[in-house]
Amino acid sequence: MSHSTRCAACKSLRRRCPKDCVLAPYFPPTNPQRYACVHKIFGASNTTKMLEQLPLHLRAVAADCMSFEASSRVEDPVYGSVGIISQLQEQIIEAQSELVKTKGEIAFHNAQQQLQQQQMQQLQMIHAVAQEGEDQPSWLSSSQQDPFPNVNQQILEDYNYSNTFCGFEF
Amino acid sequence: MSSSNSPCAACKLQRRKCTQDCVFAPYFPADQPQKFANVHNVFGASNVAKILNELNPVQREDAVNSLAYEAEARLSDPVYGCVGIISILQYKLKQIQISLYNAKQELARFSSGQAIHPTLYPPGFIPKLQHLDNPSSSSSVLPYIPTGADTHGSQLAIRETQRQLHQQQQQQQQHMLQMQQQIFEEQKMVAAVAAREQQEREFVRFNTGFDPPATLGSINTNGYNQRNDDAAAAAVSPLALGTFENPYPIQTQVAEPQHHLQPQQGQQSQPQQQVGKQGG
Repeated sequence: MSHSTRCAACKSLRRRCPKDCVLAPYFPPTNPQRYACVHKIFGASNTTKMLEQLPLHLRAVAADCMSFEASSRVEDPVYGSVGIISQLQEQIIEAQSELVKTKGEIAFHNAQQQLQQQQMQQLQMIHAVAQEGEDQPSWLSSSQQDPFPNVNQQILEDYNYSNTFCGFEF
Repeated sequence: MSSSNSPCAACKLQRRKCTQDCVFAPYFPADQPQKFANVHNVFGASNVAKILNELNPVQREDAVNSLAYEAEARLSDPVYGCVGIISILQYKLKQIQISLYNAKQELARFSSGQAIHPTLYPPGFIPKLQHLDNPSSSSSVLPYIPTGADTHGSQLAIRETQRQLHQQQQQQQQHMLQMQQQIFEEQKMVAAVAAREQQEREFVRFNTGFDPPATLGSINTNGYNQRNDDAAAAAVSPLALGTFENPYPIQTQVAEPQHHLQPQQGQQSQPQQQVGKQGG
């Protein structure tokens, strides 16, 4: 592969861009800023060394990641991309605690609902029993109206007739 | 503060005299040689010195620790480095946010359910309940049962609550749509990253003869071991003073290069231009 124009790396280093330049495919001359960040943070030789250690099909991805890390470090010289990592970790912890709290509230509501359903069933049973109690004859439920609550009515009539002579009382 | 008798790890590695104004000495003690070795391998001593000299002395310790962390991440994962960790954390965060959203939806259903069904018992049931129920078990267990007298007021309250819930649900649906779009994009990126990780592991296995760690976070350094998320959070928390106030621009900023990771196979000019915008 020949490079009629120098890549951004060779331009920055003010050298001839050879045909087998390691950096040329990943740092085109159209984007000098990209290589400038990488050069400032990692340096030309470190960048070349790291890319040479990788197989060809992984170098593009690696160059992109290095470029991102370098630009993060240029923007934030103290923390760089590690600042992004720590902030993401904080967000994860915060979201996890909120999730646990919400799940606790759901569990509480579920338990309340189950309790209410159980009470509903119990009350329905009691109501059914109470309804059955209302259907029985009224004199059975009040002992004052019937002096002989356990005696058959026919026997009473027979007794009353036998105490009279053809209907006359003695 | 190092004396001429005990050079700092940096001066030891570079085999030079450690002076009293050595910029590395306070941050690379002699008992941690690996720390400087990693930083030197990835960034180079001169670049590190330039970075430290541009900072206030107060900020230098954090800067050194973050550089050490980044160097170790890059040595553990020569392809993705810290970007791999960021990608995994973003994915994890999205998963938790989805679970949280679903949980909040479920919680909102409870509230709407209770507002729509205020009476739990048939009318006329209450007097018998009071007569027949065991007084010792009645009061605190039973829920509030509105009588017929305040039915109208409760209906107005129900309508208002339903309106509020409807508004909340609409907002939640819009938010959910946005999240779903972001999630879909992130999942595509993560799938691409996972595929490349697999390729990388195969490469490392081929080159070194042993399997790399399954998770990208297995970094064994003082205070930056990410095998345990809690330890990592605790360890990195001194550095959790990032300048990024709003997480969404950060996620956008991080997402841009990862978009490049997907179409990288064979196409380089377009993504590199976009990354260049970041570096500006």
